[in-house]
Amino acid sequence: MCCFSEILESWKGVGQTVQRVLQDILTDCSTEDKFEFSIVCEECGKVWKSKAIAFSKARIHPVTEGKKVVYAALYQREKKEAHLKALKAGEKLFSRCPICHRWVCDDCFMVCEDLDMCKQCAERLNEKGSIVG
Amino acid sequence: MANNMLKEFGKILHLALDRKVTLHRKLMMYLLCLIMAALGILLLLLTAIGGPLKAESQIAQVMENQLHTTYNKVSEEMETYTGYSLQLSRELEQDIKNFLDEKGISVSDLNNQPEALLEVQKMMYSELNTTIRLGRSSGVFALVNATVNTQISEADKSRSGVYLRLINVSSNVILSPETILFRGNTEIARENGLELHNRWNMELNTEGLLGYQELETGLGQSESGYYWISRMNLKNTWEDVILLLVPMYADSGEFLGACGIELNDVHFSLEYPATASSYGSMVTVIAPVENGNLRLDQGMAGNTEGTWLDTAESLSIIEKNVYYSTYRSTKCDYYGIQMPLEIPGSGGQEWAVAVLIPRENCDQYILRNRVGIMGVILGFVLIMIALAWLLSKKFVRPILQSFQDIRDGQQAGDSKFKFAELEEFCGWLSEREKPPEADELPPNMAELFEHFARNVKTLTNAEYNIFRYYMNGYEVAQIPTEACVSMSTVKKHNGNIYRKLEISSNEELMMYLDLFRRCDCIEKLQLDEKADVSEVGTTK
Repeated sequence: MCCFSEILESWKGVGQTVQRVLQDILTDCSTEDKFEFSIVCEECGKVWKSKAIAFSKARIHPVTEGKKVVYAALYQREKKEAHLKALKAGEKLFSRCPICHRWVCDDCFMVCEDLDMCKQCAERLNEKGSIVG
Repeated sequence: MANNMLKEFGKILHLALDRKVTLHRKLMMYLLCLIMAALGILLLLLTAIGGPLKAESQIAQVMENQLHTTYNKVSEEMETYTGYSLQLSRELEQDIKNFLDEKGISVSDLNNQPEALLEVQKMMYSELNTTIRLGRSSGVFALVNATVNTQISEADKSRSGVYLRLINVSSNVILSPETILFRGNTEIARENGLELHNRWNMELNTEGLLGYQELETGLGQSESGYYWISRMNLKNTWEDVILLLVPMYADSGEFLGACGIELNDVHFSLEYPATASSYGSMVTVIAPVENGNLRLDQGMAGNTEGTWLDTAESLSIIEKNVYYSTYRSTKCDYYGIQMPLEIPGSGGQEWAVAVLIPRENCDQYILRNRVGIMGVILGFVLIMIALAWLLSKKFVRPILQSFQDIRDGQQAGDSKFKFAELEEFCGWLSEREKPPEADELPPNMAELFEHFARNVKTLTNAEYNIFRYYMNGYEVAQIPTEACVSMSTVKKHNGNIYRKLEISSNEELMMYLDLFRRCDCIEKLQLDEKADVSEVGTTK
């Protein structure tokens, strides 16, 4: 029972760090002209790519140095927005296993009676459930 | 003992009377009264006017009765006339043959022999007198195929014979008929004390006897041995007659003459008087049928008084219904029915007996009848409406009184209500108006909450984990981020949650949770035993 309490304690704060953790595995695939991000299922390796968003000044070459600075700042701002969008989209597609803390796709995540978990953990812990995907 | 029983009975009766009457029972009572009254009146009316309701069939029934009576009478008379005529012919035939054999002459030798012809006429008179007294005919005749004077013009159509007729053809003097000599030698009249007819003639004219010429020549012999000659006018008189003609032959086949019976139109009209009925005068006719038309001009009609029937024309059938046919004449239409009449010796001609009633009289009767029935039905309907109005007023009055009592603040249990439903309704209103107790839910709401809370207990820990986000005010779109699970996982849990909570949508779930929050009952959905497996944010 004491051991169970300790496990529970270890869970505190997990929810607050979800975005950071998912952000860690969000890979930047952006180019000069578009912003695109991907997440890889840590169980099966399936890659999800966010919807590509074109840079508003793509294929426009700054004629002055001033414009070059402005476009660079604009690029960073739009990339940040695209990143946030990709993060939000990814959150709805990937589940974090509460046992092994990996981010897995719906095909690798199981709905169980007491606690939802990844397929690998369910097998290991001998938990019954059904695949979400 | 009996006194006690009476008291007990009185108590029971009192209790029964004190019982509240239900609206349904009272309405049933009134409706039953109404239906019974209506049925009673209807039965009374049907009993009273049941006959005239079937006016057309009644008219047909009356006509059928008359027709059958007439048919039987006509058939019987025809048979009688035929029988007497055949008897007469046999007797006369034998007498004439004996006479001729005795004299050793043939019938043609009697021409221009007044004495011999007188002797023959005397023989004839004897037989004819017997026949006219026994039979019921208006006249009898017999003739030999010879004339007293072959030199006169039209001698070939003049034949010696005797024609006796009744002076009075009325049937009430049939037992002692007085006869008159219409044709024959005056010596016959003198010897027998007979008067001569005012249109008397010495001999019979065979011109009007259709078929007589053929008999003379030996052609046209009938299988039945006699002939009915359709209506003809007696020469020089105003009377019409139908004649039954029976030819007489010698053993050698020589045509001796003929005899027969007369059926007079006056006699016929006296025999068949017009029958007065509610639908008009019924007249009887017997007539040949040609192409479906009744040839009245060749037949006989009974008394036509009140029927405007012209016996000198033919009636055609213009319409037939289930009951009777409509006959048309030049003057007016008639309703009637007919029956084929078999007359041997009619030469293959179809005859029929018919009974006719003027259409105008019948139509007036039917119209009067219908107006009468409609009046009765209208009266009946008005009475029923008035009765319904009175009964409904009586029925509604205590209900309105009860409503007034409710408005006046009458409470249930005051025993002033006449209907149990109204007292119950008043009680329900009182209960409803009571302010609810503090911390007390209406019974139906409490039951609903209990049911929902019981269903929440059936959720698994994982499902409850998602459910708890809803309890804490999260939207569906927020849960994946908060619970670190995908939207598909949330949706999968949602499906199970909806099924177990017996709801169908997120909106319904939100409505339940909102109700629980409003009633401060949200803690009923907290499950202590469920494992707190994830950190859930506070209500936003």
